[in-house]
Amino acid sequence: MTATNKNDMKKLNRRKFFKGLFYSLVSLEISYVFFRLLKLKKADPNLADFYEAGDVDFFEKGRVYPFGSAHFFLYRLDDGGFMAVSSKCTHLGCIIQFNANHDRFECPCHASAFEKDGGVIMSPATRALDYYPVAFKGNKVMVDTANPIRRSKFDQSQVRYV
Amino acid sequence: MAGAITKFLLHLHPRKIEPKAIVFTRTFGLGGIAALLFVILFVTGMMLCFAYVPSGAGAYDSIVRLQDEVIFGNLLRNFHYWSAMLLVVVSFLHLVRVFYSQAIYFERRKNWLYGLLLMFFVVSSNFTGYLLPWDQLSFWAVTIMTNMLSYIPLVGNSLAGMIRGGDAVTEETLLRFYNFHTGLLPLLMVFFMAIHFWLVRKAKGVAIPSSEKAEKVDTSPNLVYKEVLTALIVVFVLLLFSFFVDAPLLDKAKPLVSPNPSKAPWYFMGFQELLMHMHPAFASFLIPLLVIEFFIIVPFLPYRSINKGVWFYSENGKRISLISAIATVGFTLFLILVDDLLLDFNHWFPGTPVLITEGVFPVLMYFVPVGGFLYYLRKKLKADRMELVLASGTIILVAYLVMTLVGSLLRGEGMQLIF
Repeated sequence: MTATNKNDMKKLNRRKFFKGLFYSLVSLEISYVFFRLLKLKKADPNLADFYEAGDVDFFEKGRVYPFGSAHFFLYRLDDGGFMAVSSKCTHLGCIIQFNANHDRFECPCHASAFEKDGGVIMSPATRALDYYPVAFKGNKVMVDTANPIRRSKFDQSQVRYV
Repeated sequence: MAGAITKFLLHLHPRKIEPKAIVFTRTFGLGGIAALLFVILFVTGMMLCFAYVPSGAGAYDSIVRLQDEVIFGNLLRNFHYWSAMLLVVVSFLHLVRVFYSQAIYFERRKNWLYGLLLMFFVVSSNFTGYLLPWDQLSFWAVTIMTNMLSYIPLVGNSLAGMIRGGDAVTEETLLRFYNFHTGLLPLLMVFFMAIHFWLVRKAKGVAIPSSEKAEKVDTSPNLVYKEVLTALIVVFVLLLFSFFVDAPLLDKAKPLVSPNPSKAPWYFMGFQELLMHMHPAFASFLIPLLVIEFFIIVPFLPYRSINKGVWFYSENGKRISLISAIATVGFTLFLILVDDLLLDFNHWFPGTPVLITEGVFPVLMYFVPVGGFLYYLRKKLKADRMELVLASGTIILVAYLVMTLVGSLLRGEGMQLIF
């Protein structure tokens, strides 16, 4: 008698199955809602929302222009291409500054250093600065400040030409 | 009426209690002090809610107004701040006391886990509260801490984003932290504290060695007067401190200007110091994970013998813990200096992935000598498993303490060592 009872307890019967299924579905639903509530939103790239940095001809080759409130530096390479690098240090998120004497970006928090194109010169940062997509509308340089792009190092394909 | 209150409060304790369990130096009252601090923080926090405005525009000014214009406003804020910091210290000491007095085994194992969870809540409460003044100190400390989270593989970025409510610390973050700090965390803490106290009762109170069991004495007055006395002293000292020392308040937060240096709250400085020497995947994720796993499994390992309630387990245990502590202080300081002034694996091995040069190498440099040390303890000092566990725990705790001190006191501008 006891043996059959024990088997009954271990067997999955119809009632247990549906009860389990119901609870699993409800828990999944609740966790989904909770996580969606707290999640980040990713804005779609839309040229109308880009930040207008200025006329193409205004920017000299080989120079870095700060855009503090928009969180990026615009670097015009020697060959005329544009790169909009994020002003957020990739180590722990402090705001970097451009050091004109050393011709590079330096972070005040833990002394990471980056090239003008965002590549890492000195640790503790381990990856290059994020960059923002650059587009051109007529004669204006437009920067998509809503969508920073992560990368591990600088690559020529990241530069945009008029 | 008075009878109803005293009966309710006393019913947290048994009617009669072991005389050796209530000796002050058995527990130093740390658990009780922590509970007291929680109550103080709850009440002062509730009062602060009348003045504080949880928005980017209003937060800083509401605190300035509280300090300058509201009667006893400055005292209230200081009292809340210093109680909060003391709570982190007392909770930590309570953890250390319980660990070393062999009070986490057998029927107390589950309670140890709940205690670890409570420690996590205490630190989270302090951390979420840290952001609320919205000054340069809090804004950047929280920026750094949430960025450390994003180094956790796979889930790091989403986790940091979820906690922050975005890619960077914003108004959204402030609102979220305010909710965690005043709503979710206090609720969770009350719930788990109740379980924690109940499990202590269930284990028949404070752990004492069986050899010290004696005839029980009345809880009231023997324990009650000690508790009241301790509570009064704690409140008195905290109030006095709050009269004279102000909680910090720097300039209003400037999201575009990072201060130099930017430091996390002091109880996280150990991690920030570790980050100066190791790749974040190791310093923010692997090492903390291993440490947490260690503390979770300690009560569940098989031991040859366990001496419940005996400080440091044995005479040998005492010696081993002391030697481990001293050796760890020396070795950690030495490694920090050597890594900062001498080592540069990135340049010596160009081309090797950063995870190896800044991850595996530093880890090996620390753990291989530690392994050797533990081996020496086993062979030369005849340490058994419990004593080795005590030694390992000591090494972890002391190393973190050393790194916290170095990070907080010896690092200045650009996070460089000040000498």
